[in-house]
Amino acid sequence: MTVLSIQDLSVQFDDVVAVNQLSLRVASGELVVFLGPSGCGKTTLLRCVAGLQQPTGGHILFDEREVTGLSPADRNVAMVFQFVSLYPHLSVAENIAFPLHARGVPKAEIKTSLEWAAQFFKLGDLMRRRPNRLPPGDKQKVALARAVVRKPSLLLLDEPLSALDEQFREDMRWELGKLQAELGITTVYVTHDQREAMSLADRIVLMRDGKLIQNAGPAEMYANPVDRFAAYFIGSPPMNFLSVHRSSGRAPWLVDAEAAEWPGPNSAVPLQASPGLAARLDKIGRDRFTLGVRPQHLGIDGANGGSRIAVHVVNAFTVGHDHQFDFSVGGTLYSGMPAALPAIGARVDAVMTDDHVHLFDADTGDRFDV
Amino acid sequence: MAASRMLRKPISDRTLCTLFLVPSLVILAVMVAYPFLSLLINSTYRFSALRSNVEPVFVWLDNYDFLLSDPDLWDRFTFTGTFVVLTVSVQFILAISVAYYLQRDFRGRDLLFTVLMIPMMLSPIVIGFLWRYIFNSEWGLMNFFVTRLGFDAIDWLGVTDNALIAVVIADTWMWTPFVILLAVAAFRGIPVSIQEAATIDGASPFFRFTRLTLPMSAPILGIAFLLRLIDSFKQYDLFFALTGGAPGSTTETVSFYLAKVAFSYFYTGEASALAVIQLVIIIGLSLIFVRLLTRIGRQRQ
Amino acid sequence: MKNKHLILPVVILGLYTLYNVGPLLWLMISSLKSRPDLFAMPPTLLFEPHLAGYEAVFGVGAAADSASSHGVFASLINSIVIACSGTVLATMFGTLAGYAASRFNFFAKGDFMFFVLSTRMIPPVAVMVFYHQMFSSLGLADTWTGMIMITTFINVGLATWIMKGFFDGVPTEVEAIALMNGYSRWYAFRKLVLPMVRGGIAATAGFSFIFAWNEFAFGSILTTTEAKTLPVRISSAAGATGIEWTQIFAAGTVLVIPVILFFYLIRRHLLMGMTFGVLGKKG
Repeated sequence: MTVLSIQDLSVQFDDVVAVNQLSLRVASGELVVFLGPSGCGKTTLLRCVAGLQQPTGGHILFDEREVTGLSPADRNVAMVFQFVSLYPHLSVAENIAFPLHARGVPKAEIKTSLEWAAQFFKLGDLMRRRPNRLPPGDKQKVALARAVVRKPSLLLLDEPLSALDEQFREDMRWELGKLQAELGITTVYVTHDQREAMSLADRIVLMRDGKLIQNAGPAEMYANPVDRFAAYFIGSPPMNFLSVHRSSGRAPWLVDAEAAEWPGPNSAVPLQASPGLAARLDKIGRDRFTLGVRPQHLGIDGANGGSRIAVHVVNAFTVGHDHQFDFSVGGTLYSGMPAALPAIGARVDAVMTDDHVHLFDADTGDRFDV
Repeated sequence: MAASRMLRKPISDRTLCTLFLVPSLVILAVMVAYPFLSLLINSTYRFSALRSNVEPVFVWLDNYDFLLSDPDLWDRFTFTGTFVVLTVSVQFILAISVAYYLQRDFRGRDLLFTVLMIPMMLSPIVIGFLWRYIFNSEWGLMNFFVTRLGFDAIDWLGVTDNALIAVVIADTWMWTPFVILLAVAAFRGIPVSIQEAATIDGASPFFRFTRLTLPMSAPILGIAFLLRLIDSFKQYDLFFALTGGAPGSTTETVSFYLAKVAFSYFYTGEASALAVIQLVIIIGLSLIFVRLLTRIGRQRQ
Repeated sequence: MKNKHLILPVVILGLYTLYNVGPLLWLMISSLKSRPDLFAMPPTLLFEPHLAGYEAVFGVGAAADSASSHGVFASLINSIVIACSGTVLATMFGTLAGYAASRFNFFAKGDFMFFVLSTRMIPPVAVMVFYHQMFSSLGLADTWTGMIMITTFINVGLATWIMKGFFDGVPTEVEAIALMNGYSRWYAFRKLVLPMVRGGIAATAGFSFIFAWNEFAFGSILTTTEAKTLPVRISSAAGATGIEWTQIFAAGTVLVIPVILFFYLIRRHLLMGMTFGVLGKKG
């Protein structure tokens, strides 16, 4: 079991800074997910940990031991890649045994390890087959078996599920969880899929443009995103962001078009802030800010006395047993999840659950902690 | 304009397909099928194209019998075989070592790669004469270097074994680029993640090369191998210009010998039989070759 | 540490490059040498250029009139006419057959593709016995027509395979849309598909030209005086009176130049051309 620390790590390619002075720590036996949009530097960071990429600055330590300059082979890490990297000319068993052969492990020991892998991953019937014809999920399972068979100190996974169908992903997620529980290997998992991150992670490291945005458990990150980006990236459908400004007219607060240059007159809609929200707004004391509320916390005509805006329903539909309705303010589309499906074209009050309303700085996107 | 086109009755796909194939089919019929049949027939007669007034005599398989019991022919086959084995293996060893370093990206790689490919595009006859000049025992460049290094001058083309080495050097010069081309393509076709996975698994560069790179390149290297096998088996031009079969007739390939039987001795019947034998060998090798080609073509789709 | 890792690659690539490029440079250098310089030992690198070989090849100057250079210039013209015509025909036929093989299913298609490949595989000497008789009886021996037939023949298989590879890369929807809009398949082929494989046609022509231009075996038996190509003519420069080295090297250089030009044209498709269109793009 290994503790991974990354200190002030930077990677620069020509004029692009892929990872920017990033520091973090992964505890022994923890499963941490590096999450972020493509190009945020999460894969580069993982490749640095593996030793496939040399950082231009900073340090990587395994159990407080510096490994920054070591070759991948000397780090005792294992990695599963996004695209299946099985060796097509070797059978499943030979693939799994490959890392052991490469290290000159005695035959008897290899045999025991193979038996363990076959049993643990339920590969019994597949062991003699060539990987080419296996379904994609089984291929990744074999890749996972090959990675863990030599009991690495660190398991690195680079979007291992992104090329798989939903059904395979569920299987693999279960398999990974089981592995984590049984072996307790310190694991770093890279993905751009927030749902995957939420369902797997002990902790999520959210990245953007080579920087760490937030480092927190999934529930914490969902409930208290540090800024507008984190709020948008986590959760599905994504959070609504309403642009709110103070008005001298009858209603003290107006929701306006997100895009300030929206030309239509009367595009602004009054926001009927509940006493609770009004108090928070006064406390911040700004004339402009961004109000964030997840669709899950935006209903219709709720009796909970939350803040509300009067809108026309432009679209309403049902996904599974969830209802969704969309409305537009100043050309931006927002959505909510009501208890009952409204008629399209109806005029309704969209009501927010006040406890789950987030307030962000309109310019910087930082969250106001009120 | 489109309207007038539509009014005309369009040619059916079937007709179009037939029309497109006709020129090639005619060429194949006239230049391949007909000659092959006629060779088969000719090979059962004793006659000479030089003496057309003498009636050909039907002799069943006597020509084949004569050829196969002729020690001269077996010498040619042995020599050709030695040449093929030597030249193909030298080319592969050389090409694979060069390709190993040429698969990576470095400054000027594309230019170097392109320049290195040139020899296989040149006329074998020119290459033959060029190397004959280089191998000349008195004023050739090769012996200049040999003597500079402190060895005795070598009679390159006057001694059979030396002449064989000389032809192998020239043929290797010409065809190693081809093997490099395919080896680099094969090596670069292996996904990077597979190499990285093996690196992380702790495999040494040598282990990776022998256990992953080479086996995974096998199909494409197989194409290169078969094509080189076929081409060096039928090699004619290079020997014509470089050794002319000398010393004596010890550096005559099967092709060279066939040309001699047909156009120096004018034993047309025997020549036809030998041509049939050579064609059967080539067709056999080509069949394996096409199998491999279609398999790789299917894999890549 | 970094430098140590570079020694082996640099040595291997360096030595091979020397072996690879040296002889070619030596050919070009030697083509400019006078007789004494050619046979100098040690070989000379600095010498007064001597153009007799080139004069013979291009039929100009004093050397062109000498007995030893008789017909050299004519053979250059023969080479140009025969290689170019054969290239055009082989590319045309290969394009048509390649399209048919890519788009249609026809009887014994696999066998057709195999036999068309045989035009590349057959040892020239094996069929020569027959061609010799056929050409003599049809009056085609030692004529442009006969040699153009030969250069077309040796390339049509390769051209068919390469062009099939290029046509396979064009989606069939291209024709499907045209057909649905009322155009004929011929129109779609000519106006839509052909322009899309222009690069492939150029590559096919490049390959065909190089093989046609270098052809020796057929020419050496099927031509005697009128239609002798330059490679064949060079080989007879090695006659009873000794070898006319300057002529050979000058002719060799002249033969090499268009090859390098065409090679530049096809460099991107080298892999495709050398593997019958199965492997694409260079490595």
